[in-house]
Amino acid sequence: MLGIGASGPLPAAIGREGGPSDGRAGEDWPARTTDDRSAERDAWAVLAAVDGLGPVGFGLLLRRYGSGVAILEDASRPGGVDRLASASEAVAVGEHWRPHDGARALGVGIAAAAERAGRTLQRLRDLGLIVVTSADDEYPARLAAIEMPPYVLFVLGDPVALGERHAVAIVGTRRATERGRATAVRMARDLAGVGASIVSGLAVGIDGAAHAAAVRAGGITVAVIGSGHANLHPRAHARLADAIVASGGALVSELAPDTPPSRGTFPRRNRLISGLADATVVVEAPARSGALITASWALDQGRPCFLVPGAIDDPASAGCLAFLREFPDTRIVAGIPQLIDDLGLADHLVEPGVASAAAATLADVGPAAARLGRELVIGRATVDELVAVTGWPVASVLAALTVLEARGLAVGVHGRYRPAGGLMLADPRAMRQRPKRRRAGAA
Amino acid sequence: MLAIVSSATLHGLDGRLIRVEVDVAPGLPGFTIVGLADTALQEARERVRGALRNAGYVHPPRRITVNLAPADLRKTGASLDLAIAIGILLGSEQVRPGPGRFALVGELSLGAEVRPVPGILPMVAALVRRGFRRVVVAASAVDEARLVDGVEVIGVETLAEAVDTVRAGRRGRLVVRPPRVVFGEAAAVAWDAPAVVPDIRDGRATPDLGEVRGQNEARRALEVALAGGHGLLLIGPPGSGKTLLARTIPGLLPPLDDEAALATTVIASAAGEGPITGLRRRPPFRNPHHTVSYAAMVGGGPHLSPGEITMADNGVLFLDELPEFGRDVLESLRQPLEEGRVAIARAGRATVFPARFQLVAAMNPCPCGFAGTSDRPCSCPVLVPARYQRRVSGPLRDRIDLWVAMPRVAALAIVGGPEPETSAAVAPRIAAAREIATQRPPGRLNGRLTGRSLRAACRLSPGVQRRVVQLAELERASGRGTERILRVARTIADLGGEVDVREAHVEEAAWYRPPDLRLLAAEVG
Repeated sequence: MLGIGASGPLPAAIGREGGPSDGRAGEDWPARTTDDRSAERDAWAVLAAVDGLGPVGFGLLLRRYGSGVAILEDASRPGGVDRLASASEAVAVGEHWRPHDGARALGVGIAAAAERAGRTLQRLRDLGLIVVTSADDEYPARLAAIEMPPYVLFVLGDPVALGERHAVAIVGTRRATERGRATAVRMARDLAGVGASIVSGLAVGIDGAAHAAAVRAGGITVAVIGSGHANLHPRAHARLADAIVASGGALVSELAPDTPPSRGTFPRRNRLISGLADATVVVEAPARSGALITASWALDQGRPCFLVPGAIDDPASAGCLAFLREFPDTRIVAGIPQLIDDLGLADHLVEPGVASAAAATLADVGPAAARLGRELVIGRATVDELVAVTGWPVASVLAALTVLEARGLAVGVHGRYRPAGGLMLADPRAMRQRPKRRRAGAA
Repeated sequence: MLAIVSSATLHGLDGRLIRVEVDVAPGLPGFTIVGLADTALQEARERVRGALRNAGYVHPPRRITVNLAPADLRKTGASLDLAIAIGILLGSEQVRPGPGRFALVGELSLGAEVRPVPGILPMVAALVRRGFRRVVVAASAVDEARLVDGVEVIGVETLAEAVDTVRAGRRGRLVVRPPRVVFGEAAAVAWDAPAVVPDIRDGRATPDLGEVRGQNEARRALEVALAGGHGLLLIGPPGSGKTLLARTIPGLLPPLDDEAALATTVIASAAGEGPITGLRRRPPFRNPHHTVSYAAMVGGGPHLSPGEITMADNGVLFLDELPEFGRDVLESLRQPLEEGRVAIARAGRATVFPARFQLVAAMNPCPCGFAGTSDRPCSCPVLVPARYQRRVSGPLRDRIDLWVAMPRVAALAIVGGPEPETSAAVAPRIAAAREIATQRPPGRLNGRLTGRSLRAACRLSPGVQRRVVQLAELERASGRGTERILRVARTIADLGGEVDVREAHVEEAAWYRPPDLRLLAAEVG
């Protein structure tokens, strides 16, 4: 093994290559790549599918071989597996790095990837995925600045969305309370209103509410998924994912399209959520929530990390409070306008006009449904409450609620209902004042 | 000497005439029963022996052979005891028969008392069909036996009284002349105002709808379900009042008509359900626990006895904690829900039981039970509640027309708020809607309408038809989902006394759709 390895190309180069110790690809490598940028990008995409080859190992191999194309070419020549194995072993020893499946398994994996390179690339085209490498200009600068950025991003949608001028991550628990969900909705709406893109993880709960609100508010939103694009998870959010892409946002993953979701992939992608954003906001997190991992990444990456506090005896906020107590660098969300101010986005404040938009959505649903729509916005949630406040027969309330549901303006879980769709962003104060103003005008 | 006595046994819900032939012959003393007798019947030897002795007769020390004809019919139960004892007395010439043709049905105790047996009503009816005009039964079963038209019922307390009857022919003092049952008359007795028993802890008491506070949506859904005979599923956390609401049902349903009442009474008789003193006009309400076995639900067992679904015939089958029932038990509801009957075959025997029940069920929103409650968080993994509610699948899903979420009622609504309507206010509306539905061809409750008969009953205008299609999208409904909306809308219109189904009816009907897609929509929205 050692003998063959020693006879490989440029064994001496390993020691001399003094790349940054954080494992990022060497600053000078693009200069040595072939002119054919697209071939090189393809090679990176193929290598990204190799199991066990992470940013560190890839960076080291890249410096060893000069280019991704060279790695693949060598892998498909006779003896390539052994050369790759010994190369990665030597690299590993030199860099105190250990490929987790052993060097030889990695060599075999790369050789196999080289063999099915054509199919892999065809699969990417079939799925409509765009490959953005860390060598590309489109690679988001925010992400390039973190430790161990992924060398390849698979993007569904518009890659430009990753590089919006301002980006804020809104994350939180999957078991969101109605209050937490409402906070996420208003925060995403208002941040989108000041021109920030909303980054989150497409999970159910807070993540989903933030994405949906951003889409509704006409903003840009980026979802970092914890699996390959062909294994979108959770499947309940397939429609939301479509809406994100359709509205100019993007679905991003560092994982090859057919990677299944697993326990490890979600914490790993969390570093991309914080990395793609200027700041991270945790809306709601009970103890041990995965959202706190994202918050830790934000702190590690030196980005501002905000948490929405809660009552001290509310289990839904226990994680946020514990995190605030433990890490002095964290910031508190004292209100959404204050948050916008703290983020330095107050100058971009524009009159959102969403309340009037919401009123417009109620214009053509009929008077009964419109009345109930306003009551839902104000916060009446159960049929009993709606019956009590309107004094209508139950049958009429249910029929009118169905009209709202059919328009996508109301949704309900377990007998509690809330505004959705265009009505989701409506301002309760405006809804409450509206009839009063009318009365004042009549008087 | 040979004696032949007539009696009857129960076969499913039907009585069968049995000829009891007793031969008391010289030979080694012994007592044999032949003719496919089951264990309870074999044990008749011991009961008869004891009863004869204790009544002061002699159990003859001779070779006694009892043959039960027809020989190929499996016979069960203790209804032949009395006939066997009388047969031995006649065969050993301790008693001389009087004139007249009669049959005896009853069980004996060792103390020679005559006891009632399950199924007196169908057995007596079978005897009458076979030409018998006089029947001897236990005194406590006289009321039940007299429900059969055209028979003279003689009630006896003891074996001695039975012997007197046999000896004296029709002139015994124990002869009771039955009043002919005129079914119409009993109907006129009407259903007295539903019994309101405030203490609902008593398992048999029927609570009043006025005790259910808040829950407007569920109350309305219950009214619609009962008016149309629709399947209803209540989904709510513990303490939201699902069970209380369901238990008000007996007080909300109109009394059964003659035909249904007779069928229900026969079933109650065959199942040995308490003393039967008259036609049972109260629709049955069955509430089996979720640990119920397949046989107990469907019927069958060694005696081909009716199961819960048959005992709920013409009434309501309430399944609390629906997902906790065994998979095979729920699966067994498929045929009865579709056909209104259940076919049971056991080795050598087969029968068909009626099972035209209305299904009402209740379940928690998630395995831990607390999804959607504000005071206690749900401890289930994310998205599990939606999956849990999807577990109600296949045949049940298609037969449940109304799905209702019951949130826990705020304490304020329990003490304050307007006084809710009572059963007495709601029941007449339900009865009126059922009357309208059954007057309309094909004369069925709306819950059992499908296809062409359903569309004919709804008489949709093109505009309303379009609305139905739109609303069916809410549950990505197949044809069945569309029919669900139409069935319920028809009933809602009937409750409002309207001839045509209008948009508002359809919209309300669409509200009661299965909640799983609604849950998913809530996650996304």
